[in-house]
Order: sequence, then C-alpha cells, then structure tokens
Amino acid sequence: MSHALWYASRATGLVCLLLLSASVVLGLLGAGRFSTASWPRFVVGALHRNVSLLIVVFLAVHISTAIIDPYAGIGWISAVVPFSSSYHPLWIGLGAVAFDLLLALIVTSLLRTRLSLRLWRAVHWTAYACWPAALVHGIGIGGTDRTQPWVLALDLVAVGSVLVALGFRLVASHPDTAARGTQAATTAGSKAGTRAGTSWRS
Amino acid sequence: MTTATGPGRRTLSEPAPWLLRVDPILCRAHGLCAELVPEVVDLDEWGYAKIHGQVAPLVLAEARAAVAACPTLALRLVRGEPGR
Amino acid sequence: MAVMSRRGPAPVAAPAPPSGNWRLLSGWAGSGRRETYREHLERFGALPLAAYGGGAGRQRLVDAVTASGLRGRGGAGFPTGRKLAAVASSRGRAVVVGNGCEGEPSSRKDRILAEYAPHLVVEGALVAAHATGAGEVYLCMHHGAPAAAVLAEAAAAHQTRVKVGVVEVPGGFVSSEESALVNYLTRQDGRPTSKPPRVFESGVGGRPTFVGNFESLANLALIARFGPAWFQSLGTVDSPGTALITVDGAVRQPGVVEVPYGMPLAQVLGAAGGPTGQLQALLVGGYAGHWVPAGAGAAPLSHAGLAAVGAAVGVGSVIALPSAACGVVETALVLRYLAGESAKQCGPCMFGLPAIAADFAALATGAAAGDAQVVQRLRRRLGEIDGRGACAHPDGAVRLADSAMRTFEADVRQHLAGRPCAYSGQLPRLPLLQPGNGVLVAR
Repeated sequence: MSHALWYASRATGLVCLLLLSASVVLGLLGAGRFSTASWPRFVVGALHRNVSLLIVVFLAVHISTAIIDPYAGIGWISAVVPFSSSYHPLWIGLGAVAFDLLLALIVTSLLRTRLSLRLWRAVHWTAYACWPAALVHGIGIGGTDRTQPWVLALDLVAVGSVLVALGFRLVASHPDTAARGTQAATTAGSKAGTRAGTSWRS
Repeated sequence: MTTATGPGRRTLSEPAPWLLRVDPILCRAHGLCAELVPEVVDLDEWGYAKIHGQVAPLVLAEARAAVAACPTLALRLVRGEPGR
Repeated sequence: MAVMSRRGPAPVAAPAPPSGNWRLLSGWAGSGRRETYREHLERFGALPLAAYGGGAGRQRLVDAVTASGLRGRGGAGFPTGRKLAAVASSRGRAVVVGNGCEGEPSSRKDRILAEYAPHLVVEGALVAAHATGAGEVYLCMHHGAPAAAVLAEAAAAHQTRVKVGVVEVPGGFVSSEESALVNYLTRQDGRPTSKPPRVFESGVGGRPTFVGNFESLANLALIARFGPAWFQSLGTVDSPGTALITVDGAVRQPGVVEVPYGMPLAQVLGAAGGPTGQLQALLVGGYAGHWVPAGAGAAPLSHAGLAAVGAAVGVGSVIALPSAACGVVETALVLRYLAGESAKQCGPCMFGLPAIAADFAALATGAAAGDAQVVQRLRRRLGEIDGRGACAHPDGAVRLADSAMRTFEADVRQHLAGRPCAYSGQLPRLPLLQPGNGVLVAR
C-alpha cells in the first residue's frame, strides 16, 4: 500500500511539472502575442487557463498521497508552510513555496475581472518563481529518480521548452509596445523637469 | 419603458440592450475579442478593437468570454438605454 | 493663498453693466492697458457673492448661470450652468479648475484675458467655487506663459477663504484637455484619461471638479453682477453673450477681438481690419476645427449658425487663407503637427493620425498623383478614427481633414491629377509650433 502511494506521488509530481511547464510556455506565447491560423490567440489563452486548472487536480493527488503515505511522515501543514517538514525540509519546502504561489496565481486569475489589473499582474509575475521552485523541488526530492534516464529526459524537455518560449517572449515585439515605449520615456522625463521649464512633448 | 406607438406593432417594453465598451487607453491590439465575438467586435487596420452594434442575447456568453479573455481588461459589458 | 486686504473703499453705487460689444475686455478698451484692482472695482463694482449666501443662494447662482445660457468657451460649448449643477450635486468637496492653457496654436484669447482682465478670471473662479462649494481653485496656464505671473499677482488681491493657486502646466496640444489637466493636477501626468468617470464626478484627487475655460470664468464674473437678462442682451438665442475671437491669417490687424455671437464671419474679419486681399477659405475653430469656403462669410458666428455651414465655434479662432495659398498643403502640415501631439495612449490616434497625415502629405506633394485609392483610403480611415480615442484629439484631426476635402475639393482633384497649384511650393501660412523648441515656423 505504501509503495502504491509513493509511486502515485512521484508520478503525479512529474505530471504536475510537465503541466506547469506547459502552462508557462503557453503564458509566454500569449504574452509574446503568438498566433497562427490553427492556434489563434484565444486558443493559446484558453489552453493556458485550462492546463493551469488541470495542475490543481494532479497536485491534489500528489500532495495528499505524499502526506497519507506514512513512510515520510510529512504533515498536512508542511504542504503550505514552507520548510516546516522534518523530512527533507528544503526540498519539501520548495514544493510548498511552489504550491502557495500556484494557489495565489489561480485564485487571482479566477477573480481577474474583479481585481485591479496591477494586482493581478504583480501576482502573476511570481510564476517566474513558482516554476523554478517546482522544478528544483522535483529534482531535489527525486532521490533515485535523479539517475533515471527517462526522468532526466522529461526534466530536459520541461526546461528546454520553457527556455525556448522565454526566448520567443523576449524577442517578440509589436508596434503598440514600441509606440507607447517612447511615450513612457518622455513622461518620465517631463515629470522630472516640469518646473525646470522643459517642454512636454519634445 | 416604451409603449407601443406609431404604425406597426412593437413590444410593450423592450429590455435594455447589452453593450460592449472598449477602453481605448487599455486596448493594446491583442485581438482576442475579435476572435471570440466577431459579431460585435472588429479590428481596425492597426489591430485595435472597434465595436459595431449591440450584443445580441445569442452572443452574450461569447461577449462575457471576450471580457474575461482580454489580456489588459480593456472590455466592459454594460447595459444601454432601454427601449427604442 | 494668504488673505490680503488691499482694496480701497467700495464704490457707493453699483456701476452700470458694460453696454457695447466690449465686455470682458472693456477694461482694456477703456484704459488702453490692464487696470488695477481698484480701477477694476470702480468699473464693474464689487463681486456680490454675499447676495448668494447659503444653500438657497448657491442654487440661485447656479440657476442664474443656467438661465443666462452661457456655453463653455473652451471648445466644447457645453452649457456652463449644467456643468456647475452637476459638480454641485456630486458627492465630495468640489474643486474648481480654470483652464487657460490654450494648447491651440491658433488661439491667443485666454492669454490676452489673463494679461488684460485677470481679475475677471479670478472672480469667475470664485463664483464657480461659491456655486459648487469648492474650497480650492487652480488657475492653469502653460509653463512659461508670461501672463501667469500677472494672474498670480491679481489673485493675491482678492479677499477670500478659497485657496487660489496659479499652476503652470507642461505645454502641448492635449495637456489642456479637461481630463488631462485634472490628471496633471492629481498625479503630475498631463495625459487624458478614459471616461467614465467624467471630471464633474471624479476629478482632482477623485473629487467633483468644475473645469472652466478662462473666458467662461470671466463671463461668470459678469453674470454674477449683472444677471442673465443683461448677458443675453447681446448674442443669439442659442449662443448668448460675446465671444473672444483670435483673428489671424490674411487680415490687416491680426489679434483678439470681442464680438457678439451672431455677427457674420465677414464682419468678424472686418473687426480685425478686414482681409488683405482675396480669400479662398477660413479655418474656423482652430486647428482641430473646420475649413469653410470664403463664400461662407455671411454665416453668423454662433453654434447654430456655424453648424449650418458644417463648422463649429471651437476655440474661437478664425484664420483667413488667402487665394494665393494652398489649402491642401496647409492642412497636411497641420495634420502632421496634430499627429505629433498625440498623447500616444490610444491606437486609433497614435497610428491613425500619422496615417492620415501621410495620406494628406502625399496629396499635397503630388506623390499621390494617379493613385485613385488615396481618397478612398483617406475617407475610410477618417471614419475609423473618429470617436475612438479617450479624448477628442483624433476627432479634431478628422474634422480638419474632412472639411479640407470638401472645401478644397477642386484643389485635391488637381493634386491627384499631378497638377498641384502654383502656391504649393511656398512657405506655409498657418503658424505652427515646431515640435521641440516652441518656435513659430513661418508666418
């Protein structure tokens, strides 16, 4: 029984990592305004949302099986309070960090239309902390899995796809951003120089 | 509410129509709205949202989806003036 | 503002109201210069705010302004009484903002008013403050305006509990827009904001704000003294009172004149010395206004009268374009200027205005010769851009381009056929601000 729980936790953990990586990739594609004829913007957006929600399901199994399994002796509280577990506190703690951040990301996104855009955006930036935390948690707690070739392959796929998507996001540009960018610079300049006599839109 | 006036039959009171409004400062030409509810939203030649007409009850759900999907929350669904 | 008492003994009897066309500028017309505060009081009498004391009194004041039919002089022509009532009935402590920024290069009336009748401007702001229950007044002018110092000194002379400050606002065409001004006063960001909410509900610091053009305020100061009936003794039914008009271009004495609404455009030109030669068109209402053919000289200068010829009062300027000039070129240059003045917040404005400016430039230079699509494309774009900004800036450019296409239709056809008129190579006639250094380019 204990073995089944342990395997379930490992398996769902890997699935969560893959799903989270997919979510990050889709988020980066959306931010970079990626779209083709078969992948219009709203599809990329909806996939990002649905994949993210799917993570919660697998995460629930991953966390509960790890806690129910008596071998490691992890308490429920350690799932949300980072570094409070006696079993591998660092790796479990990182998992808790990733879980906390994911909860915040999901709750704020579900309530997006009722929150200020700035608040939603600030929380969403923590996705850049959530994903690495989950990745390192997985590698750190992996133990023997660290040497399994197929696990390593999955990790590489996850990291590789996120890096490629990040590259796309950084390179992508749009006339709207370019046009507003110059304005923001001028505003900052004029805010500083209003009393000094510099003209507003030089 | 309007009452039946003039030649031809009219409903006694027409409900207030739903309207989509775009905040032109927030709109960044992402274009998801035009994909989701093209019955109401078009894109101008530079990619910015252009509203044409009211939100028919049939596409109200799509309009709500567009409001939620907009990356910059530039869309709002409001009620217009009742009757006409 | 510190309360200073520098007034002399109050006049014994209330003076008679101004009787001729000179009202706002009657002080200058009478003395040939700016009058002192004492002279101002001798001419107009004391501001009788005590007569409008209490809640009922405030309501009477608002009603008097509404009854007078005063319409805003900043360009929109919105009934001032209604604006005052809207601010007075909104929740929160009101704020009064006087708008003397005058971003329009073609208009000089607000600067003239601040220079030669500053006390009327200050008093008008105090009337608005009294009517709305405001405790603060911000009188705004563009940074570096010489008249700002005159206004500040004048404000110091008035005995009032209301805080009156003169604020210098960064220059630029759109910074004088109502919400942009309020945005600057609230968070030092002089860019227009989206509506709703409108500033009368949520303006400076989120409080209900009355924004009145300097000329509107000056009229308030006179209405409070002499009443709505006197105010309506000049002007028309839909446009009562007088207007300060900046007359420029091919006229003998370009400058600011005060004329009653309803005066035919040709007569307004006459008040500035008359045309220097044959005219082909008039630019009415500013750079964001309308071109009308010179033959429309009989049209009365009023909201209804100008609407009938496809124009509007706007900021109250009339520029005369002589026959020896090219309207297409002038329009192309103004459109390029307007495109550069976009606050770059809304797509249709920041991309649309340069696009129509480029189309018009192609027409003007003859680069569009033989291109049958350019007029169609221009018309389509004008329809797409109109009304789709957070402020009315793109609408102004659309108005200008649209009225130019109609007024200079024959010229446009010539340019399209590759035969631009003889004058299209000359220096432009309309004064333009060179972006970046505030210097007028060519007159």
